[in-house]
Amino acid sequence: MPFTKIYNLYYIRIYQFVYRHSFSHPDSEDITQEVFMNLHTEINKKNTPNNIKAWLYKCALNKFININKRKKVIHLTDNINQYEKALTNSIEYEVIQNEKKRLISKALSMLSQKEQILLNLYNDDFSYKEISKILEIKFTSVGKTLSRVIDKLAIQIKKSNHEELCRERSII
Amino acid sequence: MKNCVEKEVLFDFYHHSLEKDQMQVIKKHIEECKDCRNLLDLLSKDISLVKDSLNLLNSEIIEIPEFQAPTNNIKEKNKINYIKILSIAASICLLISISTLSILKFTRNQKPVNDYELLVFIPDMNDAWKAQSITVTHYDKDGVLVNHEIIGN
Repeated sequence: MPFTKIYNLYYIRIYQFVYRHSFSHPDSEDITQEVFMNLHTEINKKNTPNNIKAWLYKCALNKFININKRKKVIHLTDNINQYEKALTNSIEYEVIQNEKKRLISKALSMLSQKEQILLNLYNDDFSYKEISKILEIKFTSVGKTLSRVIDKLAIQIKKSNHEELCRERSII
Repeated sequence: MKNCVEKEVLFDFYHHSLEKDQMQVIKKHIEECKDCRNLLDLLSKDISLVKDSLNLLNSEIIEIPEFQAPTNNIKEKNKINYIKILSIAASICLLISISTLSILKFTRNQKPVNDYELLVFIPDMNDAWKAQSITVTHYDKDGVLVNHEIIGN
């Protein structure tokens, strides 16, 4: 597959994947650009990876982890405030969306970083085999961990939705 | 619920990631067991809830910027560095050679500062003293005789 085709196909996916972890546009843009730069040099060296999609995600993940190590910011909770700031000057729809996002990221922050990455990879339609390769965990434990994590997150989301409903009713 | 399927296995069943025989066994069981059917239904709802929530976190519409390929390869970069170092070394050599040449030329062209020169000088002064035959002649810088003197008798 030629490079430009790969670039157009995966740019947004990689960007969203990084954004869902970092909640920072400049970081996501930088990491995505760097990932494709690396791929470009790999292709020039004629070392084209077998599974390009998995390679791209793994590369993005490593870069994201490295950046976080440098910044010493690891958890999503630090980025939740961003939504609260946006609340002050946005229209009603955006307010509701931001509130939803805030609740979800709060629920996500209850999970460990590895669990969050696992979920995001699952959300991007990776097979168990690919996930186990990217995260370097056992193939057999992928399904078990995933089902546990999804269970946990679903409960958290439902709980926060319920709390939100209760709060709305009490206000009315 | 005695022979019912565990939630984790049901999760794998939902994703078709079990072996064929196992898939068929569970499929058969689900058709018969209402609890397991409900559980599978709940599981699929949970999965779609989680997926929807995660997708909500996605950023707004993103534009794909044009890819700017790195123009200089490593080899070319090395070449440029090599040329830079060579040119610096050459310029230093040139500077040193010019400066040494000019210093040499300056020292060669330098004239004695004295106004007159001692033209006749007898090697053994003691013998000359004994013979009492020391002569001293002075010329100025235009070569005109200034002083001619015989020391002693």
